[in-house]
Amino acid sequence: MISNVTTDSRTGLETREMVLNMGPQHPSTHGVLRLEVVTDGELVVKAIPHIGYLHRCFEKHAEALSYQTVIPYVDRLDYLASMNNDLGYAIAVETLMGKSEKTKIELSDRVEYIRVVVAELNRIASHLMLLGTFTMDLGAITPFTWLFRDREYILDLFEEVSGARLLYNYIRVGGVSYDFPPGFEKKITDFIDETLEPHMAECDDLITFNKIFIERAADVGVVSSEEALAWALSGPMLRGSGVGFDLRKDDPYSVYDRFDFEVAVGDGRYGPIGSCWDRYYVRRLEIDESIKIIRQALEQMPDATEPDEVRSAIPKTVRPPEGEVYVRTENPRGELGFFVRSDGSANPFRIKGRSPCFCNLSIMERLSEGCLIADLITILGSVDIVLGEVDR
Amino acid sequence: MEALATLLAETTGLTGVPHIVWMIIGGLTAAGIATAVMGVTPLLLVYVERKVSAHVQDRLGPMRTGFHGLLQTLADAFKLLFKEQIEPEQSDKLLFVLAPGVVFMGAFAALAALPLGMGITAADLNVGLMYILAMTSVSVVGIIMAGWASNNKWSLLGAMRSAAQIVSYEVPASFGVLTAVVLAGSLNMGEISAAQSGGIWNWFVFQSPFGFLAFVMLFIAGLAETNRVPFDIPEAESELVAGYHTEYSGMRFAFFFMAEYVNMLIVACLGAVLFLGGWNGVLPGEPVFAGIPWLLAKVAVLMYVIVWLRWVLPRLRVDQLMTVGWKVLVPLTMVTVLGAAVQVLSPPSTQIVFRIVAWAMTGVVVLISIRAWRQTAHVPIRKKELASRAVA
Amino acid sequence: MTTEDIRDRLIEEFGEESIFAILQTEIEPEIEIAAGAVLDAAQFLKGQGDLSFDVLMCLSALDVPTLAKKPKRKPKIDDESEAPPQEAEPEPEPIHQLAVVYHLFSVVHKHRLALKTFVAVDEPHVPSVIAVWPAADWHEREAFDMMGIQFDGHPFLKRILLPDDWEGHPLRKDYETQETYDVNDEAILVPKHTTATPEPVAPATADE
Repeated sequence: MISNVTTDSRTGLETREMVLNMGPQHPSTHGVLRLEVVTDGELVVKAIPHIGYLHRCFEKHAEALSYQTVIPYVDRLDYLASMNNDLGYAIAVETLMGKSEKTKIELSDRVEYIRVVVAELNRIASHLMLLGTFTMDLGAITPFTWLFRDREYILDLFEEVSGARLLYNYIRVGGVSYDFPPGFEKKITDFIDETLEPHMAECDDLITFNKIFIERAADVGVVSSEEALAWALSGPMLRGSGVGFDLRKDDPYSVYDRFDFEVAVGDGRYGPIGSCWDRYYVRRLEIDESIKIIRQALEQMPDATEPDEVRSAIPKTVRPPEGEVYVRTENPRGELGFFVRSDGSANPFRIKGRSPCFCNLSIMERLSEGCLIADLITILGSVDIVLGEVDR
Repeated sequence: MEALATLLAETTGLTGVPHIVWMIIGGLTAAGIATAVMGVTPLLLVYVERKVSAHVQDRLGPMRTGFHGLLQTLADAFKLLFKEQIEPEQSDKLLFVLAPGVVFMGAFAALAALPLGMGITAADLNVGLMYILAMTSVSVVGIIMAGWASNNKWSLLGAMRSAAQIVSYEVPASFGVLTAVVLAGSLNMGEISAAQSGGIWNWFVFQSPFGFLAFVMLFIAGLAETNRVPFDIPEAESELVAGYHTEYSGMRFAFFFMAEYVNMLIVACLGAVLFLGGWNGVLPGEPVFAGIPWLLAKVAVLMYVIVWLRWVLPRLRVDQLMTVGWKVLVPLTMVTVLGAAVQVLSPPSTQIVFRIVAWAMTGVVVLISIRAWRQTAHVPIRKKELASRAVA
Repeated sequence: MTTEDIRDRLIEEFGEESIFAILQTEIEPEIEIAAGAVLDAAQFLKGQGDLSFDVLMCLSALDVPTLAKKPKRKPKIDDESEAPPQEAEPEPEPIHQLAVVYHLFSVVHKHRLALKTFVAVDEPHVPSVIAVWPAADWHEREAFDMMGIQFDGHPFLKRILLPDDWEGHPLRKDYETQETYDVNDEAILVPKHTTATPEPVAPATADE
């Protein structure tokens, strides 16, 4: 066991480090994560994350399935942002298929806009979840219920369009599975105008600029921008440290280059840049940016020119040419990459999901040195992990 | 208690019974009433807490057991009574069993010196305040026993934090109490209340700006003494599961529970008696029903505020808590004691200045509190949204 | 910079014994390098100002059981007339290899690169690039766990997703699931974990 016994030179008292186990079941590890915490009283010497409790062998399964039927598995990677996972995977396979004239897929504009709208709605839902659970870990229980109330509206919208509340199997390789039902666009805009924006203003009043919250979060878990890049952090973890890199702007995919939106970057207004509060605030601002994108997408979206247009480009069998690509998209948690290798058959030869949380969590051990146990919870909450993605 | 004994002797008209018998009967009656208070207060408070938290979080709370859930806590109490009391195998059996008793006893004993109305006190001690402060400190021993005997590192951490917190906040609490003592000139709770008679402008919060400051400090220190948010780090669910009472179940857990709520009652009662005029009414003159309704009303308002704060604020980290206690509250309360002494020794013609300043400060804080309350505690369930969702 | 230019820079620095051809040029170009040169190439790619690949986006492991072994590169001969007569090349035998693919990105120059290296399945040793990009820590542990590739120089190469006493490497094509799983208490140990962050290479500035 790791317990160093040290003797204090002045008093001659022996002190011993304590090894605590946080998890796998614990109210605030957000899933089955085990943190082995070595503490010296209240001060953490080291917190080593042990993962693998939710490993479901996604990559091995994928080798036995066909490309379209991998999509429900991809949903379950980051189960809070299923649409974004689907989108990332579909774009990866479509990119690989686009390398050969025979298998190239032409997506209609309507499909692209539908994909963007649901992906951004899911980003909002995922960030609402994070804002709620992060503040709950710090003791403010009320924002959790307020934000989840709003998330429920989004889940209702998703239920209407895809049939499921959380794991949608909606975006397919070559299209989406169902078009928007009539009146759906108006429901989305009504929700954003009447519910989401006023509620986000309330949430800001309550917690975002609360002095206690800022004191708890603004000095803690600071990641410098060099470290963030060296550890391959992405998403709000990276942008919270001041690096304004967003795949939707810097390496645009789908139709993201047609929208006008800002990239939220942490500015260190309450403490050093790269603190937990910066990351929290980046996610809060990203909700606003997603709202902008959704509004523009709904305006620009063309009507369906033919019935069932959204499924017309889906190929009967997905059989990409031989080769391997790495395609990345912006998940709410960061850069979701799919390394897809095809050997010309209808089953993938190898799919590797590079999940953002896997890389974001690896910095946990470094960040935890020298913080207090309460800070450990704060840092873990601000990394925004979903164990399904970390363990796959 | 003398009054009660003589009252009993006179009403029954039995002569020849030694006075000590009346004293014993009087004492047992008072103890019976105190036990009833210990039992009923948590029931009421838990219901209030659940309803207030529900309304803050935009939901309804218990609605099914009894009219609007009034019988809910009774049901919970029954459940706790019949629950199996588990003892961890390697716990220190004697301490494990004694700890809830010690904690309970601290709160229970302090009830003896609390006044209920004019002349109605179980034990009208000349040093009533000292006695109450001393008794509430006894709970610390029980908490440490509970944390140690549970054989659980998380409980131990919670107990250590709690002990440090309670002991640290005794100092500003005592100074706050001392300010009232200086203003009134006595340690007797009855005499302090009597010094505030003559209308609302004689209450210490309105009589002296130092009284107002001391009231706020005492309230904050009281929150810390009872482990309530924002100082509930010993019981932080997201970090320590439940802190020092993790391993307790059944009636033993109920004891901790009751002790916590009665501590809240004691703090509220102290605040009301020392600074808000005790059993005196708003208008000058003898209060009705010996002032019992007035005192209960003030205690109720303070308890509501304590409950409301729990659902609105995040919690402070342990070192921030200590900083607030030692570096902010202790100097400020020292200043209030000195200021109160200065005010008492100042000529009567300057008292009006002090009163005006006190009114101004109190008014500002009350207005801010009402605005905050309206934003958070009374979030109406939006009927329009419910209607629009029903259509979909 | 394009992949061809980067490959030219690498050949200048390391020579043709270590840097091989560009694979799958129509799909996504990947530079194949020798396993032994991985760490030096990584430091070079990160350190040089006009390359400065400061982000390791992804490190994937592949099992390529039927890949034919590449014929050895012939040294350049100046005078054709002195060349020995060409012998018919024998059919290359298929050998079982594992591959590691590195996907790199430069935030400064916004260019990407894919590097690929092959190792034989019975001696799968690749130098660890953890000293260059700390992000490789968990990626290499996962590649070891799933594919069995040994990363030399990694300070804590233990299984990460599977239990410590699991047998076999699941993502290999010839993997057979074990019929029973008996918990081996000595294998599941909690060894003292030393700090796993060696000195990183100093980041390059854009105007170098």
